[in-house]
Amino acid sequence: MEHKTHYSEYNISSFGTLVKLSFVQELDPLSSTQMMTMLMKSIASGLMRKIGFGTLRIKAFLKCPSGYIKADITGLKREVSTESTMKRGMRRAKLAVNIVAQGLNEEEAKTILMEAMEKTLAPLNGRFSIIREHVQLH
Amino acid sequence: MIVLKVVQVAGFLGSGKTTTILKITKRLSLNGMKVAIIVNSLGGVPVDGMVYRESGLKVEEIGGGCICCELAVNLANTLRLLKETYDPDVVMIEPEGLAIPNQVRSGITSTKVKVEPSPILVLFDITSAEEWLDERRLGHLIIEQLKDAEIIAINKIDLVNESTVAKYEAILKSLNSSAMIVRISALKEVGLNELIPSLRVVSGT
Repeated sequence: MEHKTHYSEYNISSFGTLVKLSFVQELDPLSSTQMMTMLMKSIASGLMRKIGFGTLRIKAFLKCPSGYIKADITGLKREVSTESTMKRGMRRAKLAVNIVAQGLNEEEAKTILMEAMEKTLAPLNGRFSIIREHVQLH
Repeated sequence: MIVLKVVQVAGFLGSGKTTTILKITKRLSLNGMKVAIIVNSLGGVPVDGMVYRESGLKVEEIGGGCICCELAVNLANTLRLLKETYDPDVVMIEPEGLAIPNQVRSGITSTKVKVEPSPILVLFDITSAEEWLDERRLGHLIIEQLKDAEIIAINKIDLVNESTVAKYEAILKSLNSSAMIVRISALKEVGLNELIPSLRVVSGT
């Protein structure tokens, strides 16, 4: 059980959420990938404003009837990496996001994630509702 | 009794574990092997499990904690259940990025089915090397992971120059002189022909 001390020593926590997305107008595959990139950047910058100097990892997976988009980012210095199989536009999707961060509590992580979702989705006339969320603290 | 081969692909957050497992699994499947994956994540939302499922792979998720400590029993039970219900030739294990590989191995070998663990593979993201080995951050933890490795795969070599790879290869050798070091780009499928035989899961290798 020595390992548990690593988490507490470095103050690592994680937060994950699964949401439903819906859009008034169809979002084409390119715009969908851009939306994922924007979302990841927005979460990452929000988190880094809070934690400053620390480790950060975000992974997201969007699934819709015409395919999927996965996206991830490690820290703020890196680009968002995305991969899409979407062939057609989408109006509804499920999106899972997992955050692992150093020096942050779960409520802060959740608030930043929700703010990033609103900021990213609003210009696209998109909405989200939470299906499931999970917090893990060490 | 047929022994279940178990491959642990460890490494810090963002080291490329999911991509590496996808590429290795694809090659093992082409070789006629039946592969299952156990993925562990700290958060309870199984993003990696979704990625594997989209590739048509058999996946078991262990979420909400770490399989090297509080969920070690779950790992042992999941291996047994996979053997009984799916009977794979190989199980690939993706621990979460902060797990300690030797402790994961203890969980693997504590299962009630007969297993043959592959050499511990730890991935090292060469693009994050400087940050990773910074002891003001999580350097101690990452070095502990690397010291547990029997194979260190320097990943993402396509994104840096040769001198950078050579510099960090020497540092990794100084940290763990007994580990085999290979250079790969899992995404570009570079170096996998050298890496996969060293995992000793394919007959005749």
